[in-house]
Amino acid sequence: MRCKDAKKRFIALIENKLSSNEKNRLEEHLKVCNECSQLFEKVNSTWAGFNGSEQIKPSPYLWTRLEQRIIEYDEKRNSIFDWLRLPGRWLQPVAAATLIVIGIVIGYYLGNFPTSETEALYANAEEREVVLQDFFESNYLNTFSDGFEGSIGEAYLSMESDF
Amino acid sequence: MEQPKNMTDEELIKGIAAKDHTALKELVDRYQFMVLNLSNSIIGNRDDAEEVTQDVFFQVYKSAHQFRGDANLSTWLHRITVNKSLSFLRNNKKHAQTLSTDIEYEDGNKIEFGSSDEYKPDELILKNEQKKLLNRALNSLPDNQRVAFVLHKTRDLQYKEIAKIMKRSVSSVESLIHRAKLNLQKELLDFFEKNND
Repeated sequence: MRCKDAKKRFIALIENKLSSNEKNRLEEHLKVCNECSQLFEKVNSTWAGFNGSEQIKPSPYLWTRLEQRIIEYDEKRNSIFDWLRLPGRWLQPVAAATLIVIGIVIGYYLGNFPTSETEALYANAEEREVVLQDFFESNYLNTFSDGFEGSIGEAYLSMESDF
Repeated sequence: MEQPKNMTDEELIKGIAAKDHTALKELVDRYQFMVLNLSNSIIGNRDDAEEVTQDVFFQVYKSAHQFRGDANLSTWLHRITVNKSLSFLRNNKKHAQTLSTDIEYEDGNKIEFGSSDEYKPDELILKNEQKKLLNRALNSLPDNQRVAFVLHKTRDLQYKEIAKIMKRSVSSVESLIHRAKLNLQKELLDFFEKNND
């Protein structure tokens, strides 16, 4: 048996899965091949670690930690269910949100609504022009329109010559 | 009322579904050793296996009402443990691999929890080196092969039982275990040939 073929059968030999013929051939090879023999011993002793694999004991705190976790989980879960079960609990924020929305809508309309009679008259530019014109006429503010044309000096001289 | 210690597994599960903490405690007492050691065999680190063990029983508490009894409780627990352990490895891949090849053996507490206290220091070092090597070889396997091999070799389960846990056919499990052994053999040979002194 070649070394390469022998190595492929190490685990099968360890687990007693080889036919008697193969087992004999491999064992013969291991007797004469020092390298394979040493390698087989290493693999064999390492593989034994799987058989008697070390069993570890649970920590004494496992239950304490787990219980704390499930208590917290139950509390959280119950608080969510309580919250959903009691209408008052979730109606309050819904009512508050509705009131805020209504307030915003009312505020918006109030902010854009004409607040005085004058502002109503200024609603468009043409109306504003008419209103101003009426205002000047009614307060004699447009009488300057037929005044003297020219400089102030000339106006003064003209007024003096009238007397 | 019946004492939890006298209850069957099915009665315990019903109790847990009704949020009975004493039923859960009894279940933990019965199965924590199995869950912890299976998880430790898959992950290769005691502290992480403890964390996974807690997750497994927490999952049982949360989903006990979904347990229909199609499989027995032990199979269900094995399945949850395997899934949680693999999920842990996937989420902590770098971390887990580093730890699995770098275990602190000098820590007195760790030795105290295990069953290694009968070994002399030299033997302990040798055994721990061996353990590191086995963990590394196991980590090199694909998930399915690793799980099938660990369930068979370290939990000593029959192929039929492993097939139920993994939801596979018996022949598929046989094939996985066979391939796992070949891959482990190759891994060990490579290691020893590279470190031939």
